[in-house]
Amino acid sequence: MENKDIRGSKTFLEILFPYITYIGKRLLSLIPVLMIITVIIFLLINLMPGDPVMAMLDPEKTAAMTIEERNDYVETMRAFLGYDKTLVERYFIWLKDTFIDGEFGYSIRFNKPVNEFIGAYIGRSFKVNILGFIFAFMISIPVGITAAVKKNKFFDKCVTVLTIVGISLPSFFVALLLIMLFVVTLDWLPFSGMSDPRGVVPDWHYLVLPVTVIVMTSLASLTRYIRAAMIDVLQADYIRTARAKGLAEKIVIYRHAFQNALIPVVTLIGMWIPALFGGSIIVEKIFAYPGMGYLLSQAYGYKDRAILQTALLFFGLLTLLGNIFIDIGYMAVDPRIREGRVK
Amino acid sequence: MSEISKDTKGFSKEDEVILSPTQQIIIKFKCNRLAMFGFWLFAVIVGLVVATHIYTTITGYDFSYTDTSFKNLPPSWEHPFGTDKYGRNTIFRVFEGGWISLQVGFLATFMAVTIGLTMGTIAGYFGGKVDSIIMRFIEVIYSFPFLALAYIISAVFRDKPAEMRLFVIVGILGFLNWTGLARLVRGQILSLREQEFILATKALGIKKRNQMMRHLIPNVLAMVVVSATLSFAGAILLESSLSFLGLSVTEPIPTWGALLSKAAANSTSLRKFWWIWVFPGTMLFLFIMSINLIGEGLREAIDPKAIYTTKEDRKNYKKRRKAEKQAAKAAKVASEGGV
Repeated sequence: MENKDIRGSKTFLEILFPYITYIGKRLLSLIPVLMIITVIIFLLINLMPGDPVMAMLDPEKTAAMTIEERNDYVETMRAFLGYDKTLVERYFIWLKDTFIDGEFGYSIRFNKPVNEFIGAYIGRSFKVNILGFIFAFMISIPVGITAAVKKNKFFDKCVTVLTIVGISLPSFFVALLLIMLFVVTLDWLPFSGMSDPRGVVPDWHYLVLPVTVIVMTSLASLTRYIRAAMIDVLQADYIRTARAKGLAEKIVIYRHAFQNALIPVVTLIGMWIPALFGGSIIVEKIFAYPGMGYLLSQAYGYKDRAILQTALLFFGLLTLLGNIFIDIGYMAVDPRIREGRVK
Repeated sequence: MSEISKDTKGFSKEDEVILSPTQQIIIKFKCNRLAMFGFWLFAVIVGLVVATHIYTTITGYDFSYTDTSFKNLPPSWEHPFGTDKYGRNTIFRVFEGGWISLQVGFLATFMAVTIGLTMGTIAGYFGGKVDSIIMRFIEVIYSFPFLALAYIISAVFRDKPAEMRLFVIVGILGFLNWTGLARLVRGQILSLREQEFILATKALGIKKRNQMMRHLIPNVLAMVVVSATLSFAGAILLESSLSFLGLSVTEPIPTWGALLSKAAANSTSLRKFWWIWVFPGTMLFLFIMSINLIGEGLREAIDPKAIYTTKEDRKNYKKRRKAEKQAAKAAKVASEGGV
């Protein structure tokens, strides 16, 4: 804010320019990393045991054939699906299909192209995770800041112990305990799924438990992170200056310290990006909630290569974009980084 | 001279004991009640798990032995943790389940620390091109979602024997978990190598390898130990998630995650046979918590800024707080009386 007059004299484009060049540079540096990731994914998928062509064939159709007929049929299918080419050729065909044509392959689990249904799964994962994300931040920010301000006092010690308990709780154990309490004993909520086929139970009832597990398992580490960031800020010189000026403690904490403690929160948001769209495999599997994580566990059961490689690529890409988001976020919120004074 | 200092500070020359940093860390750790609780909890659980493993190995206890006359019995004196649907005694399975967790945790952490420390030290010490190559490499590894990758890798090794899959899991865990430590070490080394003592080692003509091994690494070791403790807890948690998803070692070898996953299958087993999943779940939780408590205690103990407390100090501090509170109360009463 101290640079208001300088910034005011710049045109909009001039302000945006460093961001654009920076984002461009980062996206370019992404390309080699992405290439390595695609190679690893492709190799792993092709190391999987089992013949992908055989898995795709309709058993009823092949059962009626003689052995020679079947071998012929398999070979024509193999050529049709492109599995007769070498590994390297197939890798480049896959790259072209994925990145240029935007075709993610044909799923044997659903008998549909992956493009047709993957969007819906991503959307459902996003719905659960954004809710969990909002609730977790709403709780952890005030708790973390209060604990930092009251460092080594009773409240802080309670928070420290509770967060250690929290980071030690496996998410599946929490999920089972919650199911035991709310589904089995109290019978308030449905066990699993996404909607009631009879239409009696409202849809949001199905969201309650997955969101609660996500909040409970992420709360502890978020709170610890925010507490540590706030403690760091409270030891800074400008906080001492603010106090020396005679400002009220409330203003020191909520105006000077709090705003700066939020800077590391950018990192947290960046780290959540993969989970936000990619979902949590364990939570979605326990509650049979059809998001990306559930899709992945289904694909594993059916050895569905198209889904597996698309999902892995998607997760990897999201992590990379999350990292870029963190860097740009720091640029946006921290003037020292924006003006290149601190790297 | 000593009399004067005794008068002013309450110390005499004889009281002055110089403690090595390690001794200070041990004292600080021992005086942290929470950390000591974690330490004893850890010791008890490890003791039970190791004792059970030795007992079952010596007596040749068969984990695949089934006896349907003892099917699904609730906890009793004969079967303290009840029995499962094949009539197997759950208590042995719960304690033996920890054996896999311990193995995976130790091996994976050892691997992660070795790779992380080496890579971090090399990146930090040489800087420049070496640094940027290693950092890009870290970025690649960091971009792999752990569970998704574990799915594929366990699909690749699906038909292999259980022991081999265990080593594969250790390999994945160790290989994916070193990046955080490497970043941490690199940051520390970057600032350490600018300091005078490294300049001195260069001036003395000490070999680069020895500069790193003898002078840089010992300076980051305390931090590495803390980080290793926390990644030990993380590795155990991840292993249990994997075995919960059925991607790890499978029947008849018990693991905590796999024992829990049986209950998750349907709500009947969850409600009726609670002892099958509550005991392994609690064990897993307590075990991870004890490691986290130790890690937290170590972190506080190595922090030079932390207040140096002994039991006596704590007592004195409480006494002083009490006196201060009373004084404040008295002052308040006096001021109110004055108004």
